[in-house]
Amino acid sequence: MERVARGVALGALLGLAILAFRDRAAPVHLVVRMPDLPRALIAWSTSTAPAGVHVRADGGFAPFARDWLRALAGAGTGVTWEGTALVPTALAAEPVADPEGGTSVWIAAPAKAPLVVEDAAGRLDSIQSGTGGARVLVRSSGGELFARSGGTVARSAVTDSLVLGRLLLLGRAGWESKFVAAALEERGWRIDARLRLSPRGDVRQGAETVIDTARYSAVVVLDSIGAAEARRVAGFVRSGGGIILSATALRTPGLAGLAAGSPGSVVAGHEPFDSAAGEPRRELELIPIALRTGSVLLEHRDRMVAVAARRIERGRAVTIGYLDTWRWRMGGGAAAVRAHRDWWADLVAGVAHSGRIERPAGGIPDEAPLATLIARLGPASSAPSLPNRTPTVSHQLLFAILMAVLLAEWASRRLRGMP
Amino acid sequence: MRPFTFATGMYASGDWESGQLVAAVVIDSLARHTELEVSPAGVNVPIDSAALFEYPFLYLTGHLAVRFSAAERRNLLRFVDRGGFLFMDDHNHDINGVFHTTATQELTALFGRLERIPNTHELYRAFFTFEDGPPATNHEMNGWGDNLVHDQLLGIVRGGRIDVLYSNKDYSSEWSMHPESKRFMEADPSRFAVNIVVYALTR
Repeated sequence: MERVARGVALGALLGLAILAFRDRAAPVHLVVRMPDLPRALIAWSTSTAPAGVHVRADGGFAPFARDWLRALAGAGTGVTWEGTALVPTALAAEPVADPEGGTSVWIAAPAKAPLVVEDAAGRLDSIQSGTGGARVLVRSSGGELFARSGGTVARSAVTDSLVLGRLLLLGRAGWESKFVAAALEERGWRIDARLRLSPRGDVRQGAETVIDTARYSAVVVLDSIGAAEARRVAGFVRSGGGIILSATALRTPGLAGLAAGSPGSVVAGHEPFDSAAGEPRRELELIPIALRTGSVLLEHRDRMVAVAARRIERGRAVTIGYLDTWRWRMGGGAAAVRAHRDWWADLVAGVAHSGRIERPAGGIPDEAPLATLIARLGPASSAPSLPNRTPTVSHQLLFAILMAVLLAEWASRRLRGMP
Repeated sequence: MRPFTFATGMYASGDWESGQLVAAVVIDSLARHTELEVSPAGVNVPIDSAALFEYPFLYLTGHLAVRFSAAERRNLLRFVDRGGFLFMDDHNHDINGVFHTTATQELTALFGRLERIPNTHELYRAFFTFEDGPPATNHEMNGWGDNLVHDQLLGIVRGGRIDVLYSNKDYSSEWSMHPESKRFMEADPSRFAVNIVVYALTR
């Protein structure tokens, strides 16, 4: 009897010891909140890694934490995450072909999402996303840019500097050529011009050179030009140059093929120009453009196409239906000079050919943080149910058995020899 | 595209209408010598009206004292700031006549001190070449008015461009004729007007 009880007790002790050892080595599943994540990552990487971790994110994942978790997952740890404050946001930044510099920032985000655009120095702009995201033009042209929405921060940097050529202005001497040249020169463009004036000669500004992308970023044609010159301009566009075509320039047969559409009949504007007009370009005469296949609408008035663009081989072309835009600059409100200049500069920036010089990017880009997170760790999920850690044999039962057999052994000794 | 329109400015003081034949003569010269699209008739435009800004070339003349109203001053300032070209000519051909004195006072008050335009300025080569600067008028050559040949024009130059051109050579008289009369002349006396317009349109 004693031997049996001792054997059972030793067995129970051995069982408890094995269970204790197994408990120590057993895989665990942990739930971590974002503030504790960096310290936890260090701990998991310097001692035994858990079987699984679930991260509850109340802000965005830092790229290093996201990559670290991915490495843990690669090493066998199950990694899941959840975060309601993470907004699907993506950011792209491109330098603008504009002598004033600047960066065009495109942000993809859900409609009506509040967005804050920042650079290293602080906030640049705050806007609300539209149905197609948002576009912001920032004058900052170097370093990192950030788009913040909810707990997500997308990060990008401009990695190129642009080398701009000159502009070539073609057409007929008149107020439109004078004021367009003035606006673009004020913007910082260097302009060559060949403007028809008389049989004695044209108005010429700048060197007489071939029209190529080595010298020119874009050509602005404000009126009809000669057939030979039109052929040279078409070759320039096909080789990558930009062109802006006034609707009146489309009378030149060689240029009509470059246009984003065909011109219609003139629609009257208002005279005199209303300086208080909310939409000043409505005051201008307009030749509506019938879009050709592949062209893109840039601006419309009522239901008529006013500005459109298209790609021609390696070059880009914009066709403008507005006539005499100088009237806007002369007759518009207090901001008209600047608005007219900005409008023309934006059109030129949209087509201008530019060389690029790579420059070192600062920081690590993280242009679509949530998409990258999902690509690395999978989609968000709720915390997984923890595995059943209840032992198949109850520790209490084993303890009770152990105590019972020890008691039995003790009683057996005490009662030894009794009748 | 709108054609070039020769606009004569109407101001409240003085006799703005004293050079009513000038527009026809200048338009005739532009049509004869250039391919510019030109309106066949000039317009008279009140310089205190919004219509002023439809005509970026503005001609002002007169014999009498000039005193611009506040609205006229405001509009003229804005007109020139936006890129308009103002050509003002003394119809008296007097060096210290009432028009010259008051007009230069007004221009100085609005735009700052008038400076002498050098006779080598590109204005004198903008279309025709005038080696000696502004061409002399018959009034100067015949000793009328102040009995002087004014050898330079005055102007307000900003950013290297003449924004305001002032003459006391009395081109308003020189160009006051019926355009058909030019055929009896050895040279078109209004050729310099072509230079002024071409300069305004291309600089």
